[in-house]
Amino acid sequence: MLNNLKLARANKEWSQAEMAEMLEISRQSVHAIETGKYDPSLPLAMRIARLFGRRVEDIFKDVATERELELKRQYAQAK
Amino acid sequence: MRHRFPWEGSSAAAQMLAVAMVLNMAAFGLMMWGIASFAERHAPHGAMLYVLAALPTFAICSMLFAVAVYLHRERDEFQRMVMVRSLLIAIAGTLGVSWYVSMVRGLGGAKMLPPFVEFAVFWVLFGVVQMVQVYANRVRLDA
Repeated sequence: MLNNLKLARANKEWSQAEMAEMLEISRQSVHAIETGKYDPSLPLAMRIARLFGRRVEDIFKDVATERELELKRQYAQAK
Repeated sequence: MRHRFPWEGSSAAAQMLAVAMVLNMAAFGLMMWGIASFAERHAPHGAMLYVLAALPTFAICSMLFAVAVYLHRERDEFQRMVMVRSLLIAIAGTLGVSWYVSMVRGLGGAKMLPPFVEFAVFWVLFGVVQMVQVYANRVRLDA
């Protein structure tokens, strides 16, 4: 799963520590999510999205699913 | 460039776990020393022998109970995942060592492991895996 959390955080000018405090998680968790080492659970992803006032899919992108949907769309159009 | 390690500013649940583990280890050490001294002087037998042998298992169960309480109280899901991963790797290593020695013994190649080796293998492996994960998940102070 890809995410633009680092960019979103930079836009808000928050440090990892500040963001971690707001989400009540550790800095290691923020770092692991930003670097793609760890995919958060749905409740945490929703908390993160809420923190930025955005939708979950604006921050997290499931590339595999999106590619699959695109292929299905192309297949449906071809039929 | 300075890095911050996870034990800096750890959660209340993690601090409680650290205290519980130190207390349990101390209790375990004292219990083992007490039982060994008692056994040396009184050479227990019958029911007493079984009771004495069972006593340290309470400390061991208490250690794992402390880990279970930590997993219940820790609000940070990533830290919970790190703990579970460490436990699983330690269990896999311990079972691997135990199975390997049993196989060698079964094939007539070796004697039994010395007492308490599995216990030591488990906690050493657990500690090593935790340290590796702490190092792998360190974050820059200025990030």
